[in-house]
Amino acid sequence: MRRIAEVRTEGLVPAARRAGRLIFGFLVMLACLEVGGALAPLLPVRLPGALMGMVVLAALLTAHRGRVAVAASEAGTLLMRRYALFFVPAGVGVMTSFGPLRGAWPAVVTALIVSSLLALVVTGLTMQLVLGLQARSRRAVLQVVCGHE
Amino acid sequence: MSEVLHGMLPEFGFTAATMLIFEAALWMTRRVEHPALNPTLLTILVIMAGLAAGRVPYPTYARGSEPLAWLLGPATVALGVPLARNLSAIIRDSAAIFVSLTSGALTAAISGPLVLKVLGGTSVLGLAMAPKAATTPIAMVVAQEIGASPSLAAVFAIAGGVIVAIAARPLLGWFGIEDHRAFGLAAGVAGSGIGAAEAVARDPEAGAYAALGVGLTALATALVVPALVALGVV
Repeated sequence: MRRIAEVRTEGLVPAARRAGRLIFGFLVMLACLEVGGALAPLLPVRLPGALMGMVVLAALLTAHRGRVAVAASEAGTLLMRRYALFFVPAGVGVMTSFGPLRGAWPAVVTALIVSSLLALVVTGLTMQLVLGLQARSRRAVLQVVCGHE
Repeated sequence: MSEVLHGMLPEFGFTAATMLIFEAALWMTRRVEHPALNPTLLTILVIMAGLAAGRVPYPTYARGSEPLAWLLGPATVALGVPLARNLSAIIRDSAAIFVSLTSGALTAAISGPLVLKVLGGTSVLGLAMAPKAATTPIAMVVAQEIGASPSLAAVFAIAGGVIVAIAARPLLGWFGIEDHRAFGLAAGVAGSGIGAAEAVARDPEAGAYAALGVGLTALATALVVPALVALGVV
């Protein structure tokens, strides 16, 4: 019994600290989003502010490894764990497009499946192939330089 | 006060309901490990069925679930976390990333409209399908630029993402693509955000390459699709 009580009181302060870190990290995320949104229109190509915000956060975490980085990493990991949930509202919006798709369903669904799977396999196969070739040439260079296997 | 509560409660109830349904879907898909059971798709279908049954129009649901849609912004920024952690590896692999990303993004942009044309679909639908590999807001912007319907482009981008999330594990496994970097990049390029969510769930390194794939594919689509349309390829 006593041990449980101890754990509880000990656990309270770290829990509050963690909550504080998460809130701070989330604010960092929002700040990156704002900066990204301000930078995006300056680019020659149109990109959403959130994607620029992602670049801003990556740059921040690379340049700085203190408290801000720890908080941002912690909050970011929490957000990413439910990333797929945040697409649900837009996904339900599909129901407003049933009209223009009437009659074209089979062709549209087939094209979507074929094209998505093709892009998936082409990207994955190319990546694995080129990575394999690079690793092999790196080994070959190493062998030449070191003169042995 | 009670009037405000009365107006708000049912609407933000949609946020709570969406979260609950998603958690239930996650719990179910973990128990019954079948690739066709994707938690995002399952949640979308259940909510659509519920809205149809209750005769609730989509704008009402969209207003009520706005907090979740809003969180998409900071959550996308959060993809910068795995990106920063794997930055040196990404720089090392930049040549491989460039080659595979270009081929993947081109395949996505050309194959969708092509298959649709072969099957007798209209060019209106085909044009809207060209930018579908890009993340939804970019797909909509590009669609507008090439004279296609932005809302159709959004539908195709989301549907493509769901297809990729469902197929990634079995299909890439079948082709022997076990490398986390290849898995992540492929999921991000072909399936944008929803594909990246699948990669994040699999492995942090895969998540980093998926985040990169989402960002660079958005860039590639914005650059390449208008050119493909101008050249008459799409």
